[in-house]
Amino acid sequence: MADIGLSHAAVLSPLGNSLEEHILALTENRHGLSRNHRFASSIAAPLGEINWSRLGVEDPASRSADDLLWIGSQSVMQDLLPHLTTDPQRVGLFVGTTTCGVSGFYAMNRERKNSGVAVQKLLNPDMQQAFVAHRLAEKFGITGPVYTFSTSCVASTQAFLMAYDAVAMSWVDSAIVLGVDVLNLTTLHGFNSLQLLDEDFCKPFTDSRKGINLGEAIVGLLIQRSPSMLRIKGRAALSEAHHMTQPAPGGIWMKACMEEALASAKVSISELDYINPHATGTLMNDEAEMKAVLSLFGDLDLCDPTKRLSGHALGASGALEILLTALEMKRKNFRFALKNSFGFGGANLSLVLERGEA
Amino acid sequence: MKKVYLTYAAQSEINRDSKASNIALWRRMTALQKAVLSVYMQASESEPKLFLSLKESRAPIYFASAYGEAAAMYRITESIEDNSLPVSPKDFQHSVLNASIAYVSMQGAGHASGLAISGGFASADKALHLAARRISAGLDESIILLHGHEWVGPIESARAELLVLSAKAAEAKFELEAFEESKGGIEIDPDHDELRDAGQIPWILSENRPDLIRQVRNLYNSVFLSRWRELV
Repeated sequence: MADIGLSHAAVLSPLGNSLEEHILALTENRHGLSRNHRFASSIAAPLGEINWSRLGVEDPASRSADDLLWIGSQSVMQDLLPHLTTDPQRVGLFVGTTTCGVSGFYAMNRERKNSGVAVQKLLNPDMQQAFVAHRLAEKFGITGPVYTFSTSCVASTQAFLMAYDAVAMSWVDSAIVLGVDVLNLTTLHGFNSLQLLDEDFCKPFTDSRKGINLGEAIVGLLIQRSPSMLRIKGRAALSEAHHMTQPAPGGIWMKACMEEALASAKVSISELDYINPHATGTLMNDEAEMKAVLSLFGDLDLCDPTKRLSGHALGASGALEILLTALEMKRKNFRFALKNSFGFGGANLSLVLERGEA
Repeated sequence: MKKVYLTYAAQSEINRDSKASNIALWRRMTALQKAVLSVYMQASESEPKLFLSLKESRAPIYFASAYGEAAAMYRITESIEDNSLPVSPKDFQHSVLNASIAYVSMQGAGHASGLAISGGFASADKALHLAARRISAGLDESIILLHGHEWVGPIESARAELLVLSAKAAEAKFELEAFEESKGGIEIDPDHDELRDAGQIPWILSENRPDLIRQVRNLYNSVFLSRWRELV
């Protein structure tokens, strides 16, 4: 029986609408950030936008975030499904998102003002983060388990792990992981209120960093038993139990997470070829993660903070960066890589990944 | 395949008399977070050995909610709609679905990993079945399952329930004999008043016990069946 692994992927992100475009962006070290985005009237900072016009959406500014999320998700699913090697009844769908359902709250606000009806009576299923996962399962005939994880910025990394385990325990034969988050006013104004945005192009893991550039991505990862791009070799997950948005000083729980992942993989520090850190560009979080990496590795030489290219796609960032890691591992013939995901609420995840044969 | 047991169960509204209400961060928390922390503190105080063991073993914590931090999201989106900016940074950072897990971790659960699950109206059952699958497959030995709901309104109101699921039979109160998801045949009208009324939350527990046979149907025709056996 073949090992479980990431066999195929489909992606929409600021780096392009295909795997080939992502490989080119990585090869050319070319970012997809711009000040000329659909929120330019609200925010001057650079953002990373998907090229919606190539999906037939000529005016994305006029569409709700959930509309765009639905359009993009269907496109990614359509690209992935031909690669399934199993019966649709044995396929699970595992989604990681933080903002799915947000458009429903704006519609609810408008209805409340027009009608005067109490908010409690206006809550509706479109405001539940699970709605896209369920609709996709319905549309594409997926009758296996359907789960939505919304654990802040580790959401799609968690979805990846849960999907992997679902195949490993034969709950399903194949699992589709979707990382989905689309730019919207809630996250733009929210991160702005926390003063975490960089008004310039972000420079994560550098001394000149000043904050985040937000991005969006819809990423599909297919996990099944077949020749794969990469496999999970080791993992660790923990909570910092320190603060809602700030990491513990010195990055001690980030370091602990990485150490645990390496130990579970039985991979030594010297065997690692590549690190894709969480590295958002903020002063505090980057400082903590950099300290953690330095204390383990002695330098940052293996680190490739790809949010400098794509922006921070929040709940979708894990899936996007797992894919970028897979592409880099193949491009540069790396064997082992470490991927970190850290999120609000002190959620920490580290994966040790091994290159596959595909 | 391992058996799955219910070792502890409790429910709570917001408990303003608990030790939780004395913590410095209490006033910053949402109603949902207060209810979740209230039930966790109640549980850990009533069974200190059990919860110390769960903390030391880093039993994962699952949190499920149909609408999550709805009040915070409502305030943020209202602020943006009204152009009353900046939005509240406190509301924004508390709007993530795993915020309750963060406070439970900070107030005693320690460094266990947390998973925030959104499953619509069947959120609790999805979380229950996922936990049961993982325990049954030997991937986790114990899981703390938290399920909560906040009623959005002028007065803070929320409720939460806590279940400790485990592969260990010792001191277990119930065994989860069966858990399965199937497709039902009855069409559901998503505009049905009963479904629009978020007061109709399918709590797992009633008087701190699960119903022995439980069936919850979501809007997408999935039926979640759970069957418990009470242990003498």
